[in-house]
Amino acid sequence: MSTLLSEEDLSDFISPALVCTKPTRVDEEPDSVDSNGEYVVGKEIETAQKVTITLSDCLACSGCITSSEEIMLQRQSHTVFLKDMEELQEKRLAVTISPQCRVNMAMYYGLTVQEFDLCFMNFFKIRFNAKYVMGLQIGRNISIQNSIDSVIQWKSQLKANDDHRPRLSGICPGFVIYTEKTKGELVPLLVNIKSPQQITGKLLKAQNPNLYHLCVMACFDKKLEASRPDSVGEVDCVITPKEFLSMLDEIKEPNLKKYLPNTHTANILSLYQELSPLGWDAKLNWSTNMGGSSGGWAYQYVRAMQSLNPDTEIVVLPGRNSNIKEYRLLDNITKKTVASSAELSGFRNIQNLVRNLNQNGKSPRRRVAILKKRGKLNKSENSHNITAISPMSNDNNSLVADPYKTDYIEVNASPGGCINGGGLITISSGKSQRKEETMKLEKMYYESLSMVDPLLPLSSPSHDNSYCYEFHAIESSKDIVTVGSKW
Amino acid sequence: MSDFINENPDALDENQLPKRKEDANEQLLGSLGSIEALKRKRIILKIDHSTNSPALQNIELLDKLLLLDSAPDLTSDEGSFEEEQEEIVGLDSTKSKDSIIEDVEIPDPVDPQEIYDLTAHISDPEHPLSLGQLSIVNLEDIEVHDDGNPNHMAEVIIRITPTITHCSLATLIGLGIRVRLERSLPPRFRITILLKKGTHSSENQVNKQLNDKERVAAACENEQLLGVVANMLSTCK
Amino acid sequence: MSLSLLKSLKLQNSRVWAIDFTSREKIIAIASQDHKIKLVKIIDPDTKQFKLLSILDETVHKKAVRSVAWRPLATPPCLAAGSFDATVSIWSHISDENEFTNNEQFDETQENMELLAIIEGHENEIKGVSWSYDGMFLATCSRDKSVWIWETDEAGEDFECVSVLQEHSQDVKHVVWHPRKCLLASSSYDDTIRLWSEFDDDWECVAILNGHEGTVWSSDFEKSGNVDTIRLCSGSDDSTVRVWKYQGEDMDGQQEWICQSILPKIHERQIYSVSWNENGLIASTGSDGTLAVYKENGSNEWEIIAKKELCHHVSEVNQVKWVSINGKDYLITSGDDGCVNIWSFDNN
Repeated sequence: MSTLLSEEDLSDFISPALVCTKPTRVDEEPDSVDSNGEYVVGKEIETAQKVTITLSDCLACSGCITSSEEIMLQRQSHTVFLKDMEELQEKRLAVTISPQCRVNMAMYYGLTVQEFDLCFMNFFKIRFNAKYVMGLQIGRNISIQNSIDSVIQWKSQLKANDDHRPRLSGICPGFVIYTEKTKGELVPLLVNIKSPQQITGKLLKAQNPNLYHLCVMACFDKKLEASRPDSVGEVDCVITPKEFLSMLDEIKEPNLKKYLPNTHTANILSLYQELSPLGWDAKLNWSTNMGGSSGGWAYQYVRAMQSLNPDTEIVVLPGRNSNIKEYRLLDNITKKTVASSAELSGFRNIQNLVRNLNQNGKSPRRRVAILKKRGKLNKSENSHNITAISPMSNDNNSLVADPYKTDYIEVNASPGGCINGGGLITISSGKSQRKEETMKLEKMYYESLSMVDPLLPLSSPSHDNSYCYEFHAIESSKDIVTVGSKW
Repeated sequence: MSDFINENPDALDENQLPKRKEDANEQLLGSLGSIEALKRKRIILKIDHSTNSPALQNIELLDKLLLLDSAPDLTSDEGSFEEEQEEIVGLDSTKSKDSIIEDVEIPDPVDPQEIYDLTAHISDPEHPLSLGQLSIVNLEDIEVHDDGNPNHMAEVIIRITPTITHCSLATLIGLGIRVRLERSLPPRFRITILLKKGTHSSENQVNKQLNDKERVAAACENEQLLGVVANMLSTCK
Repeated sequence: MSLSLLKSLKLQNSRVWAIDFTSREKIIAIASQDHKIKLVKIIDPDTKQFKLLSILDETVHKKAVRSVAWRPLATPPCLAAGSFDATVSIWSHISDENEFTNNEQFDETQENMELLAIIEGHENEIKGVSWSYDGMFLATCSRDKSVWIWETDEAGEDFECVSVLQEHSQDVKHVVWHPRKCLLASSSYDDTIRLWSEFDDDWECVAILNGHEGTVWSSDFEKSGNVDTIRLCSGSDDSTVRVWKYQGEDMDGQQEWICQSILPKIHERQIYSVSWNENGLIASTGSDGTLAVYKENGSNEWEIIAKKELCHHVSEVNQVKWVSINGKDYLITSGDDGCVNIWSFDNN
């Protein structure tokens, strides 16, 4: 693993214990792995050693970064990228950068976002002879449109006895891996539309297979996403802004600002266009859209529902903490909820989500008795005061976010979403300053990036309709004695 | 430091293992030759709540027996509980103190050979050989502090020599030894299991885990892990 | 000053991991290796009157029950229990017909306490549970290296996870709340104690207490004194008891704590439990079976004022807890011998 990846950074707030994936990539030594991907006890230890299970993996350690993850991550570092660049041969480089990274690095360098874009494009053009350097919005538009179509279709076909639990976005790889690995029963709820990163890669490679596709992303989990078996070849390497800085150091390019072209606007725009794939709308691709700095899937769903249901109003409801927000579409006359969605992020909220969705259908034990008693207890002098309104309220029109009852939840593992991704460069050290910094980034995201409507049909590039992951629950390895047996 | 201290150990034959001089044969034959041995056996059997000596060798069965006998039934006689509670709940500490071994009058200290005999026949989880044969457990690396008085605390320290410096199974071997000793020795014993100095790359980590009571207790409730341990112990005499 | 054994309650053969006591209802909750939770009422300690109230539904936990905690201020009494089976169970007395009124005491003739909720979330063994002083928050900790904070309603039926704290690098052995504010201390196999406090709408680590040279098994806050300068004591594998003192807070809310004193050494082995009482006395116990009581003379000078060796015969002792009954101090200990011992402490 690269030294830059500390265990802490690795997973963006989901501990390694929770995100580590099944060791599927241990092809180096298949003999030591049985059909379930478990290391078998009883085999000679030497074979297991070769798949780099270190003692620290299996001892005194409840969650380990499995060797397979190490391998995956080793394949996705700036060191690998630099090495690959030396062996490119006939291939040309294509670089995609997410809007959160642009804002983050612009702030780090003290540049405007546009100035940073120019430095970034110029750097890759000059230094690595990049053919394309692009934003992510075309991929995101396709992802949003397909996701929303999928949810709308599901909702329209929903019958009374069907599973009414909300659909969950499958865009955040941290959440997806966690769900696949530890919450298999929720996998059917995931909307299996690919992320902008993967869709961009797919489009790009369809147009020109002779490309090496590098992505600069806010979060380390994006590396694991690029390594998914159902997404092979779409992205060749993912690095984070943190690693980008290390790379600049390593190749003795500490001053990115020197790549700022000293020209007037017309030429600037031409650089955007010049480094854009043929037929791709550069301006669109470097834009972003409304509805949350992680991408706005939830908000755009409600917008789409609004266009289908005139005479409705979107209400934004704050949740019990700052990492929950609900968008509710209310009928202007009846005030009934027509559609709703939620943004939810951070591990604690994911936990509550999981607990809630799993409980669904089971009637809580002795609820009636408890409710009766609760009425009585309210009058009791001995009971302490809890004034908070229950978020699990059944009242359809109560104005408290109730994410578990919505149609669609945009889930992100990092608290606050991608704008707080673990791969972003942190400028200040104190925790309160860090929070301020994230708020500043968010402000900059909305103010400095141009906004487009992601629901508008795309004219170019031409794309087919299949951008689906194949999600599946990964069998639990709990309680199976392996070489890495933990106790 | 070489990686492989003991990689291809000269496996000892069963009859090469160190034994107690006088009554080694009798012990091997399973006959109860000395008063001391008889008493020790009785104590061990009583501790395990069984009068059936093969049960000692069958850990799973022992487990079941232990479970069956795990608690006095306090719930069944709800009606008569009022009268009984003083008797059940209110056992006087003085009375309850180790009544099982009251009848042992002569102090009978446990010695390293006894500990060796208890552990040397445990199978290695990855070889068809025993810990004694592989020299993972060695008589000279066993330290015992015991005056034989059931009312005094006693201590056993075992230093084990894993076969390779980064053997991942060192913790499993250590767990097997601990389970074996905890089930065989009276409660006055505090058992410390250490990797012999310089024999393992993660010595401190392994030692810490092997001597963490809570971790060991939890491991003993992990069925799969216990299954492996039961296999290791199935070859014990 | 002397410690004398009033009663040894032998309720099972298997190890008693932990106990907790409600001073209002005077019930000891007993958590043991055999997956059970038992309730014993102390009717009168001095005349040695005790009564086994019940054994809670023993099918609930599939593995050892490691920790129990009574919820403060709860009427009827409410108990949280953390188990090696990775779940926390919440128990209360539920009855439609026979509801509690304010004045009514917990009546042991009524039916059992019943399961109110099962909290899942931890990956593996839960090692500690603790309620905040106001009963609003429940903290749980586990071998999965995390501490979770749950917020609940007054019924104790709905639990919402408000924070997952993952900074410990090894399993977390014990959690305890400050007696008068929402400050949490967690002790870990990583040899440190961390303190946690609410920040914005999440919880953050505000201090790391480094010094112990082995697993920290438990800690306890001082019970009296200025709310902001209350100290913490801790017991560890390194066989020392340390007292930690708050020094101040920086701009970022990070607190500085120093090890103010290491108590006179008496234990030869792991210290599994420490308890601090209203009168400023600290008690400790552990693997060597010794129960010790320490008193502070002047500032930072501590002395051992009472001790009892082999207090659970030859077995290890897992917990000690000070309790106050009718204004008198008692100690309750739990041991590997399956006993819960009640000790009177004579302070003269």
